[in-house]
Amino acid sequence: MHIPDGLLPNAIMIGTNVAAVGVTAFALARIDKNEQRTLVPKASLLTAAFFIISALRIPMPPPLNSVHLLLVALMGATLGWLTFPALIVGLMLQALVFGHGGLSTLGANTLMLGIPALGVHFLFQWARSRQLSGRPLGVLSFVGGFLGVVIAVLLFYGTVIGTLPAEINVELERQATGLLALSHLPIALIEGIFMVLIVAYLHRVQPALLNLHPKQVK
Amino acid sequence: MKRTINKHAVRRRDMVRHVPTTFAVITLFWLLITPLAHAHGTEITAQPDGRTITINALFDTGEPMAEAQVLIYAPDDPQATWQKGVTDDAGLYSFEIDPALAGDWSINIRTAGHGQWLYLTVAADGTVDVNNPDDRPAWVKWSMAAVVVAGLIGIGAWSRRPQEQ
Repeated sequence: MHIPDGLLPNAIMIGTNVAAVGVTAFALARIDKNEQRTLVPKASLLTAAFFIISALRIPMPPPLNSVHLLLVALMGATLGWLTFPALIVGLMLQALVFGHGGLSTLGANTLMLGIPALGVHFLFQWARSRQLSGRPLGVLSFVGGFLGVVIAVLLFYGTVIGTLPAEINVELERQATGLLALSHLPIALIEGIFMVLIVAYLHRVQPALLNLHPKQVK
Repeated sequence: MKRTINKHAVRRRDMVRHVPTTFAVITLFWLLITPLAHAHGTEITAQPDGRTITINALFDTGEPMAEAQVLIYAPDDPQATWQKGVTDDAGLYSFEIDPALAGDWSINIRTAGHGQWLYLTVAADGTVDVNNPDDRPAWVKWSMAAVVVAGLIGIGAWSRRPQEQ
């Protein structure tokens, strides 16, 4: 679910790239030098996970073909604002290695995945402020995983349909993109369940990875 | 009590220390059991046969891009579509090129926000040259992917190395 080169109008392409670079610069400026030793391993591991997992297909029954996991929620929960530089690196490598997505659409794809990831980050910050744990944290993890995918898919759908050239058959493209969006519902459920499991594990062994307060460990 | 807490802390630290190795093993395992294909990239090629050009539009999973829209732009007016059409269920689309329109032709094939541009060059004598993009074999792509993953894990491990006093 990455937008390839050549499908977006120039204005959108330039605007999204400028916005993505701006947000990434803001994210990098927020890094505390004392935290670099913990942040860099987290960011590089999650970039590797994002790079490889979204290049591996999950077969779907016809006519949906296949879809892939996004890891949007996990990146948002663990990296926070640092998700943006991690996404830019991961997406650029995917475009160069697999031809998946594109270099000119790097900004659009980064925002499409980074915005929901940031939403999940704020959701987990709220969990931290409320000192959530146990079942409420599990529910929140599922909601974060599920909504992360749904919002990314809605942004993809809106970008594709909102920027169609005049000569295209809009109805045909809308049907095809709608079908692709629907095929991501199982992925949203899988990512929700995956988030519940991974958050439960990390909350027990290393809550700092999720930016949750250590006092919450029981 | 203090000893118990330390034991938990050590166990926790040991578990976290094994995360990169565990991740690498899981990735390797997944690469072995998953078909060597990735999702929703496209592999679109064009084959000339005299004046007839046949486009073969596939997702990189090998599945056809059925009912993908095809927009063809001729060199005399690259802003206006010269011909429009839709691929069949096998992802195929054929058209006849006008040999009088020598120069660079552009073809956009797209469906559901995925697609690609192809470029043809028609010479003055009517011969057609196809510039099919990115025809690297799958093993080359996956070798590059393995290097990228190893590099990223390496960066993570390197940044956690013990600091000199």
